[in-house]
Amino acid sequence: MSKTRDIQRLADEELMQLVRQGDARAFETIYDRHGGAAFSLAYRMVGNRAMAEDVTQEAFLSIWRSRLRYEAERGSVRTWVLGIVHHRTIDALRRNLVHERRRTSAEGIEERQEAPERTDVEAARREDARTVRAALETLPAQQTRVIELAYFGGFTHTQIAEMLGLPIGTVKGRMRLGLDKLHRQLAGDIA
Amino acid sequence: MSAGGHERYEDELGAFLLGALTDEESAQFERHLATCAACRQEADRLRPAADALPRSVEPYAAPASLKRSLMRTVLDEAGERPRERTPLAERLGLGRLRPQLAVGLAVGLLVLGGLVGFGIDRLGSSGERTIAAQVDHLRVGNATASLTVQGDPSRGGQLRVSGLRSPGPGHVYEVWLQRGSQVEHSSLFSVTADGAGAAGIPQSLEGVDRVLVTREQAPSGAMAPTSTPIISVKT
Repeated sequence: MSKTRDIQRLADEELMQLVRQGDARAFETIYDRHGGAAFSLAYRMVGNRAMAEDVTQEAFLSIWRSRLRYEAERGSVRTWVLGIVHHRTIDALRRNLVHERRRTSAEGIEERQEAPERTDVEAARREDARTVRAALETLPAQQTRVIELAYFGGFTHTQIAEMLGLPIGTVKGRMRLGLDKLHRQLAGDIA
Repeated sequence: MSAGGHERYEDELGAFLLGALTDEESAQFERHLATCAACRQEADRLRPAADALPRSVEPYAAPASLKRSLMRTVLDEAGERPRERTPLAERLGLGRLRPQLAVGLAVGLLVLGGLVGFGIDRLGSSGERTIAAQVDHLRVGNATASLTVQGDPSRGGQLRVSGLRSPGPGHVYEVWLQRGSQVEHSSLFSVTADGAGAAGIPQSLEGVDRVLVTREQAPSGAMAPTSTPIISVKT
């Protein structure tokens, strides 16, 4: 048990080194810290609980099995995990797969709690979420729309252009402008 | 690399960071990134904005079943626990019942499902319902549609379509919520070349009798349905 407590005190980057060595308890701690965010992202994208569970499980198993190398220069472990989940979910959406396996849990999806962690960390995450949502609301609707369809809908730029009846160049331009404005808003470059 | 070629990659940077390129396009873009410092620098500048998007998502606790299933596999592969059979009752989503009763109920549910016809196609273990829709095949061919309602209907749902023909230039599909004789606008959507599309329904579905879809003028739809629905879902 003391080993478990020791592992839980490690930073994400140190845990990932242990995961690469096949440490299941380190992996479990990574999951406990980031599984909720991962599932939330998958659910936001697919709108289906069973499918969200499937892609989240696939993403974490890919981290476990392939010992994907986390590189600190590319951002936090959380960002890296969510990137993997995002990519997997897009793959699933584009393959139009819906896994029908029933799950064993009777817990409702409406429980809005993060994984167990210090309340100050949780409060900081909620504040960060509000900040990002507020920044998104400053974008022109045209830019938000293409960003949502791309990032959360999993559609390609060609599909989005077709859906919205726009030239592909316009769609790509709005994506880039939207990200640029979001970046500047989050960086505090815009009043 | 020609200037025209580089411009193309510059234009695709946003799509790349959002995951909106195909696998082939992404691979090409990554090969370009390896050779272009300017694009790498711009990608590094904008990537945090794309990385911020999942942080805007409403947080939910992942189901405990997800962790159990995941860790069962991980611990087995780590050699820390032998594989164990999942009890039948648990596989059937009836884990809290005695096994004999669970099996009997599961068979009964399968028989009942066969007699219902369209209606409730799937019951999620959290109470989420997916309902098959009626489609006017004379007007929209062999399209299919379904509505997924959250376990708590006040949280809305999602309508998904497949094989639905394009609404045509200058038109869009509009989703309506019918309560008695009242109809309110919900959302707009279109479809891809292969007829796939989805419309989120953020409004409460409490008291809604039917979810309807009509074809209306783009870009903003209509104040009220201007034609009979092509899709109708009884909730």
